[in-house]
Amino acid sequence: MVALVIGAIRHLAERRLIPADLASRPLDGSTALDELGIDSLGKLELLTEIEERADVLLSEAVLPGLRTLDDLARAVTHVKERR
Amino acid sequence: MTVDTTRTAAVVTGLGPVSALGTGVESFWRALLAGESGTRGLTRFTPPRRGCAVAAEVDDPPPLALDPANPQPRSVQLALAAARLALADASLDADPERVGVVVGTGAGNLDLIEAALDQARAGKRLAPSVAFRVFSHAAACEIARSLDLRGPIATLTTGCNSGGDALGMALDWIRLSRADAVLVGGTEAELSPSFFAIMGAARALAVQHNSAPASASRPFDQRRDGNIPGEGAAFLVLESAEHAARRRARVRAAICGYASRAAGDRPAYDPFNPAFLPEPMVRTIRGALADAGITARDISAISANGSSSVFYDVVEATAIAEVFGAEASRLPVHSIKAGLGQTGAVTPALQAIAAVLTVEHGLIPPTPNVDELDPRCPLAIVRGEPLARPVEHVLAHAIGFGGYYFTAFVVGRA
Repeated sequence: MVALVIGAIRHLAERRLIPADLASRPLDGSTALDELGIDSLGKLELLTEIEERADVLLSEAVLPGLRTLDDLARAVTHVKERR
Repeated sequence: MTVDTTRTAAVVTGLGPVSALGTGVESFWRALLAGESGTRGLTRFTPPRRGCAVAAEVDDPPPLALDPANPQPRSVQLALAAARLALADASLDADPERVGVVVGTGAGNLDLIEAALDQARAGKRLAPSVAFRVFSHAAACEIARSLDLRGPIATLTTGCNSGGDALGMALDWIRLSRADAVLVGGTEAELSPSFFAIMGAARALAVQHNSAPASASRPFDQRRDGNIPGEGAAFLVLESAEHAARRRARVRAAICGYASRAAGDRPAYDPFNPAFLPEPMVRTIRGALADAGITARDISAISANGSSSVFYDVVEATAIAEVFGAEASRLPVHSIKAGLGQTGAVTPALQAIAAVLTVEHGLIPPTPNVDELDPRCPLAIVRGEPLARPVEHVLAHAIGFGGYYFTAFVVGRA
């Protein structure tokens, strides 16, 4: 699932919806969301892109406290499994 | 010249609720006291493939299909029904030139816009009346026309706070003697595919409770996850105390004070690391108390914004704690949005009606769907049965979408 999250980040960076350097910067599951340098609207764009790719909806309630790309990937997996 | 109009109240002589919890004062109040829910699985159109499929739909009046020759948008249909109820409840007898109309409406006439777009794309000619019905001011204009009211007229569109800000404008008109009576309220008809798509994209709607729609709106509860959209309208008749006394009107309660405040510059919302900043809401509440000429100690109950928002419910609880200090954990709080969803502009007007009835009857309605209170919201939420006690003043809150602005008003004994 973390590959899907990283794929979403690369795609948005290529479209310049979040910082362009994220298209090529090394990213893995331990990368902190705060390290990405994405503003609040960019974070909403990222969530929407992940939802489209994973065919899930992430409730606002599950987001606070997520720190890394692994955390985000786990939240997506959790929602998918619950459905 | 300085005109000090604070501390002058406008009296409330008529109420007209049209809501998913009932139409007319008796059915609305009975449902609120019983802790009923008006939210259910969306029936008006096919819900989005993913996302919120719950809504607060109004059955009375039933939705009328748009007549292509003479379209009446749903928000106008609802507003006319509520305005007529309020005028009848007040038995208003006044010079029509001294009766004003203020309507708060947020999302606008999306149903008519969608229908007009379909017709235009199909190459069909639109009825000329579409132009007069599509704009946000249409409900106010139709009310004034159909009830032959000839005084000042305005529409405020401040999103979810519109009904409360309309009340503030009506209070000013009474204080400044621009009118003897004002028919004031809100109307909202959000149940359209475009609204669900737009608000869903902004992550504002609940998505986890589609299988239990009656308990989907859960103010201050641990399992809340967003707003439930709805429709409705609510009007009140406000009068100067002198005008009401002159015609020996039944006075139900008074609108004592009002304030709105912009948040100003602030950190952007971060869904992963939200910062719950109460300061703009605290300023707003203190502004409303000052406008009413009272202090926090004079408040008997709070009609919360409590929209079931993951974020704003905590902001509100934090603001209440700051304004009321140690009293915050004892002061009774309720939210009508548990049963009515976040029905945009109309909700503050319905809160005003509920607050008038709370003051009149000494009964604070319960908030359903609060099973486990969020520990970050340590409020004395009324649950189960209504709380019976004398009520001097109710403080009502509204938080504007995006947290850009806040509204508060005080309803008290006349």
